[in-house]
Amino acid sequence: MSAKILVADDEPDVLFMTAFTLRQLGGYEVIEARNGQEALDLSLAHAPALMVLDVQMPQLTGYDVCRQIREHAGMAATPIILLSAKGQASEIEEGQAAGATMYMLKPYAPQQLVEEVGRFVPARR
Amino acid sequence: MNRYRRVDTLLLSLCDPAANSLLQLMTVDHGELRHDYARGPIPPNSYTDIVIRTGAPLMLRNAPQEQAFYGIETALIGGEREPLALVCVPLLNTFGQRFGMLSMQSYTADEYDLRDIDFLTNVAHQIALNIQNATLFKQSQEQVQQLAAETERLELINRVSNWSSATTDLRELFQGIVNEMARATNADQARLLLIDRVRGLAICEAELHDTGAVGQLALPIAGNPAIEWFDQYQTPMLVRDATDDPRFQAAHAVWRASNIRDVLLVPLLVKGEVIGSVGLDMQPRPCSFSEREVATCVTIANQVAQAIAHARLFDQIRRFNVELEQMVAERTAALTAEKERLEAVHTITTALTASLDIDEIVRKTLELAAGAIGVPRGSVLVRDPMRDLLIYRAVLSETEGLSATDKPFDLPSGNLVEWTLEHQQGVMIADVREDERWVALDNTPPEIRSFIAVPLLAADVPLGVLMLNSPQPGFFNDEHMRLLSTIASEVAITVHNAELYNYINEQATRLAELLQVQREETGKNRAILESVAEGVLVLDEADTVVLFNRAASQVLHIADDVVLGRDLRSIAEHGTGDEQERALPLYAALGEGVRGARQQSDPVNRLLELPGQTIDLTITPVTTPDGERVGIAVVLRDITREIESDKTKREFISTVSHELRTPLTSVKGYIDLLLLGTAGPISDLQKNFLQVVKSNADRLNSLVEDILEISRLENGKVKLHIKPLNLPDLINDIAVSLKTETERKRMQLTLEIEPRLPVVEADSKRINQVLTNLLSNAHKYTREGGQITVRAFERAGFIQVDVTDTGVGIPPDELPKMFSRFFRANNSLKEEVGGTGLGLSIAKSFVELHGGDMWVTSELEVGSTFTFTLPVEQGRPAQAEDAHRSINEVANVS
Repeated sequence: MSAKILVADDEPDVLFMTAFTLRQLGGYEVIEARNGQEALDLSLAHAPALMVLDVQMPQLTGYDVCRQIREHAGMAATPIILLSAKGQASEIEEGQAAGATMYMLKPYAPQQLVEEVGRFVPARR
Repeated sequence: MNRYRRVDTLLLSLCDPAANSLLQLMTVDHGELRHDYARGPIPPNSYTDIVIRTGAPLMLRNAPQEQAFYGIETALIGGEREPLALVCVPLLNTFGQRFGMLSMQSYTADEYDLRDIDFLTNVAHQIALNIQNATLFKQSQEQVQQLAAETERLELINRVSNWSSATTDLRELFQGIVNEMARATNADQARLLLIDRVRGLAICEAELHDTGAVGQLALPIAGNPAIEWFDQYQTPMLVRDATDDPRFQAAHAVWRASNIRDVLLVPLLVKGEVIGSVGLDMQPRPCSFSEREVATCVTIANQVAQAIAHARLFDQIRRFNVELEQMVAERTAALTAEKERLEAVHTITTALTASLDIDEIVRKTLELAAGAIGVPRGSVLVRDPMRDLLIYRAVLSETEGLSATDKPFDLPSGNLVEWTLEHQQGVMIADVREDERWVALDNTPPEIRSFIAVPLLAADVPLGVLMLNSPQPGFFNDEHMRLLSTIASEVAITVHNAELYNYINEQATRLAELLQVQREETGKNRAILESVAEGVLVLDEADTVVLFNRAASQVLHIADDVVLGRDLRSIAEHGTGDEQERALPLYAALGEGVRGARQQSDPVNRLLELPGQTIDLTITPVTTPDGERVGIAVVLRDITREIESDKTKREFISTVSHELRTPLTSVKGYIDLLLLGTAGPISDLQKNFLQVVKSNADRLNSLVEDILEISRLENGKVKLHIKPLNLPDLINDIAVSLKTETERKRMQLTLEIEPRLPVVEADSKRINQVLTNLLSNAHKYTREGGQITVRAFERAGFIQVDVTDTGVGIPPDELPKMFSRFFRANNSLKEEVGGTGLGLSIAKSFVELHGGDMWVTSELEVGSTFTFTLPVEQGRPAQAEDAHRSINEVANVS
């Protein structure tokens, strides 16, 4: 049974690419969320081992999801990787305040993502 | 009493029982009255004592036998022998108080019986009444006497104060004191001595009977017992039996000669200071110098003291007056003489000062000086500074009268005129024929016998010489010399004034012409300044606005009449409401900028943000070509629109760059996935094509990154994370990371790092970027087999890093543009290498943010050296941000 990773991004291309990378290169079971609300609902339903959240999503942003997840006792320590196309100091700080574990700048290299995720949740291959 | 009973002795004692004192004792012994002045305590256990104590009568029939019974110890009182029988009764006053005892005594025993007690008690009662009456009478008499004495004293005070306040003559006062004191004491002789502490003498100033001692008798103060006494006690000194008093040994002989026995010495005190004493002598006489008399003398002395103080002051003032009058008289005499001399000079100078024409002055001087002294001939020489010659500006002779000439003075050197000018002194020759100093010429008129010359000096500068001569030998005297000297100095001043006037006149004319030219010039300048597009505001050195052009008025929204010709402060004070909101920050920025420009004398640039408006201020000190500061010029540019468009541009760049990242993420990600073979196997050709796509996507990505970095730099959003940085380690790391690429091009990379380089304080990420950029450029623009050298060393508080390559080099005309954005130098490798043209611009900005500098030197086809410096001691910014450090930063590694 491989570990569950939740990936959320409002860009379908990027969402598919991220999910594909984690499945193909990391051998993880990936749950895909197309926006913040879905990410929140699915993570509560599936309790993933790690979450990769895009920051700029409509309605619920990556920060919002992060903050709400942290309020649930069972997910207080779940590693959360934020993905952003901006990457300014103020954003990094906001992510930290919201409870994120790590901040990665887009565009990212697929191998790099797998490597970082693997540090928290061992890959199957 | 004897008629009634046998009484050998009658005894009456009067006492004051409260004080236990016996006042008087009176006995009548066989009809003979005897007084006994035994004043003193009541003898204890005497008859008086017992009767006074008990208040009861006492009768002894046989005294020697009964005395012991009553405890009587006293023996004989009054009588010739001890009485045997006696009766004693107390004397009682009307209040029943005991005040004495009456006793009748007999030498016969058993002489008296009880009836005698009654009898004696009656007698005692009568006596007591009489005594009381007598005492009352005596008391009232004494009061009358006291009143009389007091009246006398007041009369004396009145008299003394009357005569003493009536005079300011010290001698009169002194004589008065002597007379009054002698009168009050009936003294035989009286003398007043005044103490002169400076001379250490007491000098006789007055005496009652003239013996010639006044002004003659002078006693040394030192060792004088009376004066020592006065200084210590300030009270009179009464010497009884003076010739026996050892203190006054020195005076004994004198006193004996005058048969003096008692002496009273009274001090004279003025404001607490002993100024003298009065000595009163008395020949032998009973009851001399009673207490009252001494007191009277003190009263007199006190009474007169104030008058003496006044008189002394008056005397002093009078003496000052006399001295002053004398001084005034002397000065008046001197002034009168001076006045007469000045009048002569005045006549001349009044005539002169009216004129500013030098010839006129000189002619008049000569005429008036000759007239005042009474000679017919003379001349005045005046120096002509242009020709450096002395000119006969005025000549007076009997034949030709007064004339002006232009003839130069041409005597051979060593003449008197020369001497006068050189020594700045007048000279007098009594007889020219006998004086060696006189240079005799053939044409010297024979009628010149005596001669006088004085220099004309203005502020010690010799202007010329005034000379007079006379046919009479020894004509001139010292008085003439003084008069001429005075005239000469007056004339010199006048001549000097005239010269100054001429000079000023010329200058004024020249300046007026200059002013006219300048006025025209200023008018032109003003017109130009008025019409320029930039706002111009000019202040003079007193901060008064002297120019405020139309554009300035438009930029600042202030009418020119509000500020023109007023203090700069009027900007702050103008307007109401919204205008005020603008006015205050505007004035603050202007004022601060103007002060800054004044202090450093360099132009100051300020950006002024007002609500909805941004104004660029350039504040420049205005100096004349001579470097004299004349004011401050402020150029105002409304750059609101530039700022706004700049802001829009920056926002646009930022947004576009972010928007580009999202598609780039997909492009780069999917290519990577394809290349990784995650979507199935790919052919080598496909792989090559994908590599081309990937490298172009990377280029696009780095372009986006560079643009974002520039945008952050422009927005001032780049914050440095300053920490101690080990530069040699950093250089090594970068060299290692480039190893693969340098080896591929068979390049040699050499590091020359000075040992023990100080640690710098810097943002390691940014410096890494800088070094990576320089080394990467060196690598890119150097052909295969080339050489790259990195040197790091300390120089003047900075660490300098040189990155030198043996590359293609940079054309000299392109060197200045090397750090401009998007600029890429022209060279053979340009197309091959590619690049955004932003890297160096960013690197230079980073170095500058650290307080360092960056520059380049290069030679075409030889190589380039890029250099940057970092200060060794970099101040740590207050808001160093390390907050996100706990989140791993992957961004810069990707």
